[in-house]
Amino acid sequence: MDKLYSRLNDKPMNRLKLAISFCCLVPSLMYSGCKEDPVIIQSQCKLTPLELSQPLFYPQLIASQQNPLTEEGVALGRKLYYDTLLSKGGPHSGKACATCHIQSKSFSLNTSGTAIIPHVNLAWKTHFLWNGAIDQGLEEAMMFEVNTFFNADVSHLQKTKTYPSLYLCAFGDSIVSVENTANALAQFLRSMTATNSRYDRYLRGQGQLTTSEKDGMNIFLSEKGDCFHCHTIPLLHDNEFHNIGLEDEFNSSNWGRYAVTNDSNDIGKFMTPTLTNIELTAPYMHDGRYATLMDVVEHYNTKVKISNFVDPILTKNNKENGLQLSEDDKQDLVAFLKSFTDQSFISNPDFSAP
Amino acid sequence: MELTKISIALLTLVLLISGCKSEEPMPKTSSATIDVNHTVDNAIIASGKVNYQNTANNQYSITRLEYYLSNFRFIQENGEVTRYDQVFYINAFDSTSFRLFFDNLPPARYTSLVYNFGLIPKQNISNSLSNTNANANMFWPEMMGGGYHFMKLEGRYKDSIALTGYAIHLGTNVCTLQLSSQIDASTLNKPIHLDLTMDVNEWFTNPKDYDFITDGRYTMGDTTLMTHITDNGQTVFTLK
Repeated sequence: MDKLYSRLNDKPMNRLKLAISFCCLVPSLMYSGCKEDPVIIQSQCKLTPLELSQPLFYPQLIASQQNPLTEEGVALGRKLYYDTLLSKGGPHSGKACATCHIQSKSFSLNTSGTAIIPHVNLAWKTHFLWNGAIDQGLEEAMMFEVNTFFNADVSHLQKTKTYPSLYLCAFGDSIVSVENTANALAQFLRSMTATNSRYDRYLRGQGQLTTSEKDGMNIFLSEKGDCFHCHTIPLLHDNEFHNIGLEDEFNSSNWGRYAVTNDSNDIGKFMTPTLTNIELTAPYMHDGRYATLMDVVEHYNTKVKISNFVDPILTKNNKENGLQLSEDDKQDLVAFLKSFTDQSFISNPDFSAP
Repeated sequence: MELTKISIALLTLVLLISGCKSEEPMPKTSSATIDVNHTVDNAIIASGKVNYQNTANNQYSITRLEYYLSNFRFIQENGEVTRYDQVFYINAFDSTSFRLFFDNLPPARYTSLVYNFGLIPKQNISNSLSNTNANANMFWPEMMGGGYHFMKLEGRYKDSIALTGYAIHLGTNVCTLQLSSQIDASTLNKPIHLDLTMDVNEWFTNPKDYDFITDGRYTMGDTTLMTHITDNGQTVFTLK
């Protein structure tokens, strides 16, 4: 060191060179001494676009330009769907989406009270919640679930070893945000399509229905049952709202769509639910009042309450007292409803817990 | 002097050239736009109010009005026809469906417009239209003839007791309805713009009054009632 110092004093240029070297050496030592865990950079995670098949006869899937489907986004959404971390510290702490949306029940839950809307074929839905209050797509619906329903504290996800890199991969940002959490869930839900029921295959000429199911179909698709006007083929819903005569007096507890639009035409209207997998998703109606499909059929048969707000379809000539179906008719209609079950959907491992 | 003559000749030539406007080439194609609106007795319809009265003295409201227009043919004064196979779905309570656009219309003077309310038979086949949510909701069951609803007109009317619903649904080829209007429109200088107005009350009259109480409040599947309404269709639309 003394020799070095004396050499510096003797030669000014050497002093400069040494200073520069010192300035370069110190930061290098500092950096190499503070090694962090390796960070996955975006270029190492190539997004894989995911294109859903467009089933024959089905309307165009509703896509999101801002949140296009990728395998990475769907995988992240699936992981979140089953993770109780999403609810940690919130009003539903300890629960995940999958706690109340069970695959074997077409991602609904057999419970009493408010019927839980199944997570099936949401890629074709324009409105969400029974009164349709959410109408800006699945992303908005998931923002509601993450922000409002779960009141999620995403810092719990941020602190994990896995989620930041998954978010970085899916969205190019390792900071876990509420928005990207909602986007990932929306992608997963959008991927959950059920278009392979026995009736779907029958429509495509790939399968048969039983005699009872065909008789039920004839009731469904004719003036006899008139189900098709709201439960249109093949989605089995019309993305609209109807007052089906559940009540004849209305107040804030059963305003339905009116609570959103403030249009008196919408009093008592609720969203037409899909009938896809309907045999799995009891109870029925927005308030879960009917336990079985036969109860539902009986409602239309004899229990429609007439008011100034009931849907005009339900008050046609000679049907003032309901459909007047025979017992055999009702059995056949229920048999047909059960042909809307897509077994491959409720057992698809792509939708199961990762 | 000689130089003066040359100068004058040159000047004249320049003036002639600058005065001759080059003719703009005739546009190869033009377009037409038709804006649709819906009235009852000249008033734009509003949803749900029992504001309207037809010639049968039914006081009624309109809560749903959806229909198709199709098979537009623009006819020139020399008889030449430009045809559009496009099917237009119109929802009277969704203004985004009110504008009908026709591109690549040959430049000419047009003297009449012929079109179909609903669908023509070769289009009225199940799953023949594009798979939109609107078209899916308009489907007409195969066992009832197949194809699509041509129109859904629904609402409520006052009967002696209370408000009662009605649903005028037209479909199947018995409701095929061709309409025509005289026009005087030219695309030679600019695209054509027309206004097409449906007067809903005309479905219930001209030539024959329709009464919800005596004729029926639900037409689907009833050929007599559907024909009754369709026959009144010739005076429903006006074109300006």
